[in-house]
Amino acid sequence: MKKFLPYVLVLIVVSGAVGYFMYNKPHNETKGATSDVIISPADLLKAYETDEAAADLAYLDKILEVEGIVKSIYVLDQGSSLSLDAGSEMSAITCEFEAADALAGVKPGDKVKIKGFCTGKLMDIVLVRCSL
Amino acid sequence: MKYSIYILILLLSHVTMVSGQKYFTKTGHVSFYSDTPLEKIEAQNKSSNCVLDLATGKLEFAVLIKGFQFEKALMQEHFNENYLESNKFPKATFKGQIDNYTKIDVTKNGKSTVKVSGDLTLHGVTKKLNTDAVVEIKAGKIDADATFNILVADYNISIPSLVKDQIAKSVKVKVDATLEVLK
Repeated sequence: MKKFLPYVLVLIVVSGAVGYFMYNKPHNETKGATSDVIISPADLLKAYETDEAAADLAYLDKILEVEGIVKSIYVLDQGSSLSLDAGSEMSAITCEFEAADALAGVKPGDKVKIKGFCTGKLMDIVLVRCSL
Repeated sequence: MKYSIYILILLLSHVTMVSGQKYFTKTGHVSFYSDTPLEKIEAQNKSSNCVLDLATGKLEFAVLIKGFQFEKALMQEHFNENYLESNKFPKATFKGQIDNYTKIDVTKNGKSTVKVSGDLTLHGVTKKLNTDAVVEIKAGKIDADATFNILVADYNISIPSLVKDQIAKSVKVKVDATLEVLK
């Protein structure tokens, strides 16, 4: 019995550590990550307007890389966000950033390339945890 | 003849009034809080959509479930995959009205409390929801705040017994949206 005790202890410590790291595992980031899909804002909007279920299947949770013109910048309570022109009056691509100062120096009319996780479409298609 | 001009002016002014009565936002802030002695969980969604028609009091909210950001990635994963099943039910919506919407006067700065009632659809289940909301008019914009509680069990969200002490049975939801006139 005594022979096994060290192994049992090691097992307890290892499983405890694994559990702890799982619990605290960091969010996947878009900064420096490889994009899953590179698509233009207009094509992305078209895909969602044509068949939302199919677009969800193709893009949800994926890192999308979109390049377009900044329509407006929003001031939020937490973090910041902007909308990218997708060639439509009603709909655009909303891109959320976690940091409040992530968009310092960016202004409407600028051309930007953004990576973010696709969460679906309401009026806009929404990308979260974005990076420039 | 004179009267018809008056009527025409009256009609025209009415038309301009009506066209300026839809308010909306694409950056509404919806957050929720689950508070138990073992664990505090909160999540934020910064891109909820809201449309309010001041002519009728009709109010609609929509939010993408995958847009909720948690402090811990693992919680966000469980929330999406196990509890809210966001691939199957990607959106939550509220469709209802402000019952005493005539209290809202956008031409005057000020605060008032209104009653909101309607249907909340979450995780594929629709339930009645009634809540008070505080509406503040600031320079022609409508700032709306509401806090209410929802019961997890009401929306068919099953919490495994292993973590049932970590997740509150009643979750507090906070809504904060600044609506601008829809042009």
